[in-house]
Amino acid sequence: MIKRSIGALSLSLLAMVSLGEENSDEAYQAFLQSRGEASWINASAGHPLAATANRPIPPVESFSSDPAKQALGFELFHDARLSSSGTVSCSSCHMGMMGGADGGRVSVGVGGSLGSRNSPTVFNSAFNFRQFWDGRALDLDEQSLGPITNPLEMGHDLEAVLKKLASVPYYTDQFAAIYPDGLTAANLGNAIAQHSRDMTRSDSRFNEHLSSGAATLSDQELRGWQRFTEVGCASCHNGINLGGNSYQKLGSAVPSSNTAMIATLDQGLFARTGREQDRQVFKVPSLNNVALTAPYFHDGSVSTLDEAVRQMAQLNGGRTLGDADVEDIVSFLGSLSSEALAGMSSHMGNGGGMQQQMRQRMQRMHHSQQMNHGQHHGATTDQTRQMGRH
Amino acid sequence: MIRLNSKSKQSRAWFLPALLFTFLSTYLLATQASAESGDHHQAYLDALDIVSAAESRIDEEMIRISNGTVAHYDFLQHEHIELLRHASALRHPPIAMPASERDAVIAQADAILIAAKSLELVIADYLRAQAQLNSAISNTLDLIATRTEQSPTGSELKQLQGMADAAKDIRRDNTDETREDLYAAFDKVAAQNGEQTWLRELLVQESLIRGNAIAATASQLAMAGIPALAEELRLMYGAAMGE
Repeated sequence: MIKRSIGALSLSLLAMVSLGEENSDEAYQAFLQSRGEASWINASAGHPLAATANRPIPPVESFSSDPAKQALGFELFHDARLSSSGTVSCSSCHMGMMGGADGGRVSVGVGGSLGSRNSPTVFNSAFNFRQFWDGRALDLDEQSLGPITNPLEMGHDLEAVLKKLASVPYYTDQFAAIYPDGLTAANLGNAIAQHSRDMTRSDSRFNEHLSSGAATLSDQELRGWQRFTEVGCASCHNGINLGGNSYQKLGSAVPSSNTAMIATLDQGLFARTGREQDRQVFKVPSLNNVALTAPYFHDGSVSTLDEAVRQMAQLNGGRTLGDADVEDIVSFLGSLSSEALAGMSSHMGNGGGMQQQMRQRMQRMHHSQQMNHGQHHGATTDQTRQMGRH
Repeated sequence: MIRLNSKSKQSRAWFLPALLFTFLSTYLLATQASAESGDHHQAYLDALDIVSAAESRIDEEMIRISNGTVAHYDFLQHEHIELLRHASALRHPPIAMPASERDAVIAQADAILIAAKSLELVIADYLRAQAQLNSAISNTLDLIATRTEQSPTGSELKQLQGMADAAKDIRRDNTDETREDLYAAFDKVAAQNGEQTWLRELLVQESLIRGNAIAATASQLAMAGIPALAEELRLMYGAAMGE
């Protein structure tokens, strides 16, 4: 009797399982997963300033998010098990105290390998129209998996990473609880992306000025904002992220004479498209928190913000700016820093103390790596050119 | 015998409710699956609507940028991202679709996705030209303001003012006529001034405007043919779903 009842119940359960697995659920999940989440680049579209060059970033709390995914994403972001050597995590190149970047010209990956591109800040990256300097990832979900398999960054393969994570009960439990299909590569990317989206900051004085109209900017910063617009910077650095919404050619007005940059021969978007007009075309970086993320440009070849402003005015505007203009614009750019991040950076020595030490440490690592492996700079450049990063 | 019959009756008494439970739970799950299938069907149609309208929405955003109504590129990129998201989702039709039709529907969705992806570079080219044009016009106006502060002669001042007006016109309305007016103004100013830094920089701006003004208005959007592809998919989908 009991056996038969159990048999009937088992039959019910079997029916439940088979319906769940084989019918609409799987196809619908695939549909929903492909559709993904709405992009944040449209945020504040209803704000009175929406049509102007700059509109405020809403608080991160105003975006829907899943606390369990946030917690999981946080753990994964800081977990060096994602790298083949067990020494590199996402946070190795995207540190809060370094404005969401790493302070180095280029980042150091597994075994001390060097990339060819400067680590972009993860803060407010959710507002970028695409990810990486050449825009090869459409969103943060896709981006999150890129460094894991890049031989110069984490140097791992996804199957091995998933296997490693599957041996950690916390991860198997969390993935099973959050995602219908558990621990998969797509869900790994989604969870890390959730944490990246969490790293949205709206506490800069400029944002406060835009949101409330409060007098949070000094006269010099206001003057700098005006000059920033008048000399054409806002033609590329516009929108909610002051950039991150188009590809532009570096040196479109005047070809670059930056020898360090030319030496890297990074062709940017051209590597993806093969079109001549895409040579040295890169995604325009966001300027939020730019004062905290030296060095600058896609290859980290410019170490100070005032030099970056001078070079950009020349390269893309065909202008030679005077000192007063540069100082005013740099002052304005300082108002784009998250107050909390600037505070952390300040505790670190504000570019002169620990940040400087970290940069020096990275340079030493680069040098040591080259010496240990007998790498010629050219060999590294060739390798990195093929691999690309960020 | 009696004992056996009694046992058999008892078994049937327990088995029937269990069987009823089986059928009920199966029915409930089938209903749930059907609801999900209905959700999927509706979501698929919604995605088709978004994809069908995407080209005109992207075009509208380009126009708003060109005529200066919107001073950033976020909304244009948003429309393209929406197109990509929904085009990508169209590759996953509801399970209710007969397998015999499925491959053709997915192949058509693939064609839409390829066309949608091709717009990345159309938009990139447009925004590159537009950004250069905007920057060159801003810098032209700034250089005119700088020169005006240097107390030029009355006739030069008039020329500079004419050039500033022409530059503002092209920003509002980028046509053959406004472009020609601006180029003529550049020629006049260049002819009456010698070798000076501000003029050299002004000529860089002229070159940038000449090189980008037309590209900033031209659009290759229609070449991707997304509305037609989407309409074809709608017909295929409807037929496959028996509508």
